[in-house]
Amino acid sequence: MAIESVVLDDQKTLKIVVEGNFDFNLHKEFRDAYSVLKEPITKCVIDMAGTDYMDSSALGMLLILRDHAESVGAVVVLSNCKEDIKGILSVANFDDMFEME
Amino acid sequence: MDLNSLSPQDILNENVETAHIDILIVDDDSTNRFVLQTMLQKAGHNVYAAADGFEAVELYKSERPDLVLMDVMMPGMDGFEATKKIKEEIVDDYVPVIFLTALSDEQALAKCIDSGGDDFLSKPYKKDLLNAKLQAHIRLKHLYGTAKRQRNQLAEHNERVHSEQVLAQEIYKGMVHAGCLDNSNIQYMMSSMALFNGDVLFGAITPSGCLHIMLGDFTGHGLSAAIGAVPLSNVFYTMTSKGFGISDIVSEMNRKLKDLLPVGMFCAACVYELDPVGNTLRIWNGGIPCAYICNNANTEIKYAVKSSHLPLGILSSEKFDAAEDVINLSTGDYIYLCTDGITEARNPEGRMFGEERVKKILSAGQKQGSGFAALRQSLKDYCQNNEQEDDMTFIEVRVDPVEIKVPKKISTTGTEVLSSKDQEYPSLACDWDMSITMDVSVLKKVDPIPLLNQLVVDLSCKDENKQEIFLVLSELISNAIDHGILQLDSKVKLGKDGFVKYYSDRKHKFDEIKNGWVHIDMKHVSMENEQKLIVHIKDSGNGFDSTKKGEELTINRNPSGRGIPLVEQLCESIEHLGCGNEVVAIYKWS
Repeated sequence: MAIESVVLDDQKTLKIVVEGNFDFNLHKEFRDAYSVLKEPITKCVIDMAGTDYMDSSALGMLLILRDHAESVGAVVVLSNCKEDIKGILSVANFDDMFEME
Repeated sequence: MDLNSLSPQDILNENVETAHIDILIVDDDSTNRFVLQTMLQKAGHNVYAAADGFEAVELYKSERPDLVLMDVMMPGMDGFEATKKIKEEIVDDYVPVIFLTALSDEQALAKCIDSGGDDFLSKPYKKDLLNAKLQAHIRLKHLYGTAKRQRNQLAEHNERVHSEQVLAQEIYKGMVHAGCLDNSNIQYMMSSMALFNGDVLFGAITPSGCLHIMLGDFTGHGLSAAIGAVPLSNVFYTMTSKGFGISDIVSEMNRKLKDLLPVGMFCAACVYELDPVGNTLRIWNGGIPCAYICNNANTEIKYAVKSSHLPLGILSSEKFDAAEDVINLSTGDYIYLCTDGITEARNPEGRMFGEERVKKILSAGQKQGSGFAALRQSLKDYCQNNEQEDDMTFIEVRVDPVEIKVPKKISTTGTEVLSSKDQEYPSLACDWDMSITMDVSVLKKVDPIPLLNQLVVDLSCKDENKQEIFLVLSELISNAIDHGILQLDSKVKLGKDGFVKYYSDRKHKFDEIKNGWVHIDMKHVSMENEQKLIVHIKDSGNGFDSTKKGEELTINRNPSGRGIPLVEQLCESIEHLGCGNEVVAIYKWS
């Protein structure tokens, strides 16, 4: 599985781990992963420590997630991004749109 | 019967078990033939009988049976030979040939299959075994028919989709055309993965002679990505032709795409305006890799314009930032733009071409020609025959020296020349007149030039004078705003990076200023042989000292500006009134 998701013990954080190439092929898996995002979860952390590459459709998926998160009152945080991924995010200026940690 | 018409359900319902087919039996022994024929006919099949190989081939050709039961040893043409000939006749169909043979050694049986047979049954045969084999082959035949039908449907479908796409592509090309990209100072390559390109590249010249270029990259590839290009093309070409600046254009594009595209789909874009007179580049980059400006004389990148905005179609209009960067260029500079399809192109080992490599090639200081050819070749060498994974687009624009073409004045042919004096024109009957006063609070938000220009074009003229009228209006109105309301000094433009400083001063003053207005009167008068547009503009500024007028004009005659001298050349007359804060210009055409 390129994507794994888990709700942390505090019941407030959904953590989604994306491994390898984050692209259109992960569309369904990614959508399934955040389908549990609703109250009382207030934070969705995308752990990209193992993400090697992302394309524009992955950026699109993040936007859709962000939309969904807003509608349930949660924030999306991108964490542990590698330099390459940071580069891709910054070209699209997504680093302004998402909280990074 | 037509086995092809049977559905899979028919088979499951065992309808096939009772299916009646046409069978050709071949045996030189008349008793055998009779026994077999009777048995098959009783089972409901239609039977043709042949006594040797020759007869079998002839009967096959004339009757086209569904299945053949073939004896091996026959005088004349034997079963192997007859089977070969029959199989040669069969095109794209499954007609099983079952050998009926008394032979039992493995070699002989293998020869049955080698000669094209599908199965064999040892003599003397048992009725049940024969029927079972027949049914098995009927089922296979049906399966073949289904596969063939589906294959044909698929092929037809593909063919239809393809021709529809080709047609759509034609329409698309008409809507999303490349504009002025064939100009001699422009080179570009677009390589799309699919029939439709998710990258867009537009180029057009504004009424005042600036070059507008847009490079866009939609999320995804193919048709869905390409559809979004249609409204973009519309906005780009329409607004450019009306003289809107790139801030207005990207704002409008963003608004359109935000409305049209689903969340998660957007268009990374870079749009720029190259003013060949001031060699000024105004550029907006949202999500496209760095725009590079290089010069063959240097081995360094002069400027890299990083993406500093979100792509188009993500933010609402209120949040959208259309602020552009302004850069001073020199003649001979090259402006390069590419989509991430280039930087992320992979070699056979799976490694990406990379931004650094692009930079290195472009900054190498080309001995011959430009970086365009070098980059294209390098990309080709790098990727070799690796399959393309994204649409790739790359464009180079050279900053050429440009002489402003001042169109020839239309000669006045003996008609009474109208005096430009303010008090004389109000008494004239006219086609239309208008008067508008705009407060600086409006001017901060709206560029009045394209709006008023469009009004004049729609009311008074067709295409032929559009450009001249635009130049006259834009120079006069810009003057009133920049030097009247904002009190900017043209001399700033003369220094190093003068235009850049000028624009940043202008932006700064615009942000600060609270009071000010410009008043514009326009009137179109039709006379017997000529038409006149009378433009009267007054601003809230202090005007300028008439003794400094000469200096002002000198600056404006400098290659870095067009200004009043251009208007003077285009117009029949131009006159400054009041304390210099008023101007009346008369533009004439026949």
